[in-house]
Amino acid sequence: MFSRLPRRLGSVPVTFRPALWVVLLLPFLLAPLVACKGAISGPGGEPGAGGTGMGGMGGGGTDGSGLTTPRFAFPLDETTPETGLRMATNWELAQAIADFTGVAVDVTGLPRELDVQNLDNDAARSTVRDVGHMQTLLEIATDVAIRADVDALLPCAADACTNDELRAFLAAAFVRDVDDSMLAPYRAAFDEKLADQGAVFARRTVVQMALVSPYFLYRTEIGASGELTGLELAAKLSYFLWGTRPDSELLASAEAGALLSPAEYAAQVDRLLESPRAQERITWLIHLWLGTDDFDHQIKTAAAELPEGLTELFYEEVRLLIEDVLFTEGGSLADLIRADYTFLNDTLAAHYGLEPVGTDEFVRVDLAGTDRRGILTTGLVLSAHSKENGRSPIQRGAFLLQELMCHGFAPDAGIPAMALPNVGPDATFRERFEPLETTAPCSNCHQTLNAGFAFELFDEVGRLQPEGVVMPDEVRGFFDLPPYDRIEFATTAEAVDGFATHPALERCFVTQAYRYAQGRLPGSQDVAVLEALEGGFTGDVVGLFREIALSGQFRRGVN
Amino acid sequence: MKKWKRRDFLRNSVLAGMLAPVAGYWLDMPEAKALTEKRHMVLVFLPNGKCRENVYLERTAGGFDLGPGFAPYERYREDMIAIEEYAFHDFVSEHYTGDHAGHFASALTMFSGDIPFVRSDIGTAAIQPTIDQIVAADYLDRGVITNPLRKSLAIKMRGSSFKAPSVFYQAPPGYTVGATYTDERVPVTLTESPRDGFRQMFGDLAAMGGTDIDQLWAQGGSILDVPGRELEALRDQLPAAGHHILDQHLTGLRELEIGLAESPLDPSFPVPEEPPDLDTRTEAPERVWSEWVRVIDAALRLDRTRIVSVQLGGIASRFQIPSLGLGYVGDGTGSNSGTDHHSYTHHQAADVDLFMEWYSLRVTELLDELKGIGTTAKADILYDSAVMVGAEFGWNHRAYDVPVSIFGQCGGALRTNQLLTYGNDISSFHKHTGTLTALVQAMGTDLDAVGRPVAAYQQGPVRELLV
Repeated sequence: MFSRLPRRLGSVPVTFRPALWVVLLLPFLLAPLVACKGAISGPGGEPGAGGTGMGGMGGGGTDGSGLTTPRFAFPLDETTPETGLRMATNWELAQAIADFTGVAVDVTGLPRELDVQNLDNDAARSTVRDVGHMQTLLEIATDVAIRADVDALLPCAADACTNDELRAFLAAAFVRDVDDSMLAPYRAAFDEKLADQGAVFARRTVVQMALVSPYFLYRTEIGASGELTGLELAAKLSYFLWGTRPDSELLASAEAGALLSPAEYAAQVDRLLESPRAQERITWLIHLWLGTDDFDHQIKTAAAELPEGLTELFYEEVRLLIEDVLFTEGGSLADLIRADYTFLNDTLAAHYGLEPVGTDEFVRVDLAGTDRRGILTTGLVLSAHSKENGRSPIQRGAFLLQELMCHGFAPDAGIPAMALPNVGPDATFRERFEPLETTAPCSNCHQTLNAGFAFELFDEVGRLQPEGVVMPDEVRGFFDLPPYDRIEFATTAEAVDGFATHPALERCFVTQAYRYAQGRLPGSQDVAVLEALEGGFTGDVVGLFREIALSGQFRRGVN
Repeated sequence: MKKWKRRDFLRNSVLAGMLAPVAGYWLDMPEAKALTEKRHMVLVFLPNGKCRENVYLERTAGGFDLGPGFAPYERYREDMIAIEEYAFHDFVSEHYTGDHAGHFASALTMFSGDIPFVRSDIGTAAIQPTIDQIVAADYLDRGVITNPLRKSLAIKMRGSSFKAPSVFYQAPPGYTVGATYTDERVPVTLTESPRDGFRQMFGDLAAMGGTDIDQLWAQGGSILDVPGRELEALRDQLPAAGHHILDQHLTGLRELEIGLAESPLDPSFPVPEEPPDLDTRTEAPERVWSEWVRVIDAALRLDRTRIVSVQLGGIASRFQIPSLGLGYVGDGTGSNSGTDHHSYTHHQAADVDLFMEWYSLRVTELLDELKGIGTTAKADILYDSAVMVGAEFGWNHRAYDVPVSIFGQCGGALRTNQLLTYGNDISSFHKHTGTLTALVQAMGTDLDAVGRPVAAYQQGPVRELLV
């Protein structure tokens, strides 16, 4: 069993289930975009069609070949159904249990969430998957019930807890008012166990029951008169910014009715955003956005020769970089993309082929004079978007287009198989791709995909390519995503600078952050707020989270 | 098409599971035969499949020869139904024209018999349940298998997958044959570790001790009634878009309640030896598979489940087999290069036979175990089984000539030792759904159709498959 992304979430050490299929699909997910090479055709049979693979994106157009040009992933032309109910993700559940009971739990047995366009919290896809999932939830609840300090969690003046005492516990667990009908089955179970097995066991039973209750596993976003109730708003805000249930201060504000006042609400938003927990939440969204949430270097062919614990080193570098750029220095998203420094220890520096830093601790390292620049050239991002072995410009180009810019291709029609133009036996790897950039319909895709050559100096595990593998002039090209200006580059740094300020990147990140807040795909009901968020986005990620939380759409209920 | 027969008085009844084996009690009922005959279904999914130049079988004057990738099946001819010109490409091309997306469509069509659900590059999944889960749900419904936790054993051998978390999808609550679904089904959660699979099959859910944790666990089933009522209370407050969340959750709850109500294992029950804790990321796939073979065989023999679903890798998997010692292939222009099965389908199709042979050897290892080869202590349960091996493609990224083989007589329901020719033309594509229907019927599930609810694809079971 390997642990993915071990991190400290608040004060709770949590490891995640190794959702290996996601780890493994990442390189392949991007592979289909290699289209116009004519390598797939049945001998003597039907020709293989060029790869397309990305379906149903909005916008864009066609050049008459049948293959559409890249389109924004979120068409916003229809209303998105709203479920009114959101299940906690595995991370959220672990944090909520720890915050509520003081017990750190292992959630590795839970099935991984079903991602929707990179994000792990799509409400419509989040539920109990099957009986095994339910069993694991019960196991977690049982484990916590036995380990929790029930005297603290469910304090009662006497062995026989009163209704008020039980109600207070349940209201805290469920972040909702508990009426008599909700209380009744817990009262009955408590009384039965009290008689049979004593006070402690009875209280543990109530804890166990509460932790498998849908009121604990889900939060409602129903509201009344179009607005979330105070408690619903507190829960939604807390899960958005902290990934957990509301703390006592937020709860008190909601229970007192104060949270519904704009000033109090804004103050609570700011308070939550100032916490390191908000930083962890923002960092997690960045991982989801970049598709680096589930990487393990063991999938690489070269795994045996790589430093032990390389995955953890990769994640630590990125964590420190995000923390420093966005939270310590107050930098922008663009600054994160084009940072001219990073954080390394000796092991990782050696892996990158850089000078030793003189310590096993991570220290800030100036990247001037190197080919690395920003988060896109960290080992984590480079490795997550590469094949298991070999050069991977198209995977990385697809990453730039799909993940970073939220664009894709629609398979409106196939394109015929075709032989590559003969560019000569001595052509470099880069030169063999060049005709695809100018010849329709290949150019529809390769005018963006070939930009992956910007990172061609780095191999599939983030090292510098061995000498002689990549010719000096192979790192060049352009990224042409109409209607935006074309990016031209002849070095990695030039490309990174172009990506950092690309309008599509900013639009993509804003949309993903908004999706994360709402737990659903954006729809026509979100057009106005998204336009406002995009228009006001200056690269301040914390500010973006604040604006999303303050938006009227965030506070809207389905009733 | 008709809704399957529901034995409501058996539904959710643990008692039914205890009574069902008492054959005499049921002898006057038409369902008794299906309820008591022990049949197994094993579905094996091979990623990528073969290319057109890889021969599955060739007709000869006296019958047929198996191609090099399938030669290991030779000694199982008598237990085998070989099907040539097995095709369902229209299921794929209906939604896709691009070849790579076809991987996905083909894989999900293989055992569901329907085109998949597609939504702007996200959440793509099967739109119909796969037949393993249809039968599993039916068996639960009828009390053939009483513990939902063991309604099926779903296995994944390590390997990358193209987007879909599973090739196998659950039968939704209230599944009705012929229903036209417009949303995606819920994938079956796959298990990679033989030890985890073993524990699913042989773990004793009943409390064994007197400690608080055992007692808390033991009461798990009884407390689940409360969340069930709470879910129902939420239903009235939610918009329609949220109801499926409740339905799915309720199904999990109800099934767990039944599972937890299971009696403790009889101390005399011969629980097999637990597999070692293998690191499936680094362990040789042959070793991992051998452990799985033992778990599958034991689970079927000891009637812990009757349904097994296996994914070797995933859709379009870059399945690596280090022991083959294959070199890197690629034309230097694309990303589909490497030492894996998928890369070889792109760049060195002739050697795809090596992958197919490796898969065939794994299948025959399982068949040997089910057949009881090499031991006198084991009965031949292959006779009671239907082992269907399917794949993504038979041509290069085309669902023609898909190498489909069925092993075992399924308790005398399947007519083995025969070669069938379906036809690589669209008019024959209904034989795909017909094959799936025949298997479901062979398992004793009373359905006259599965898969795409369109008349052209629903012409009943392929009669030649059935005795």
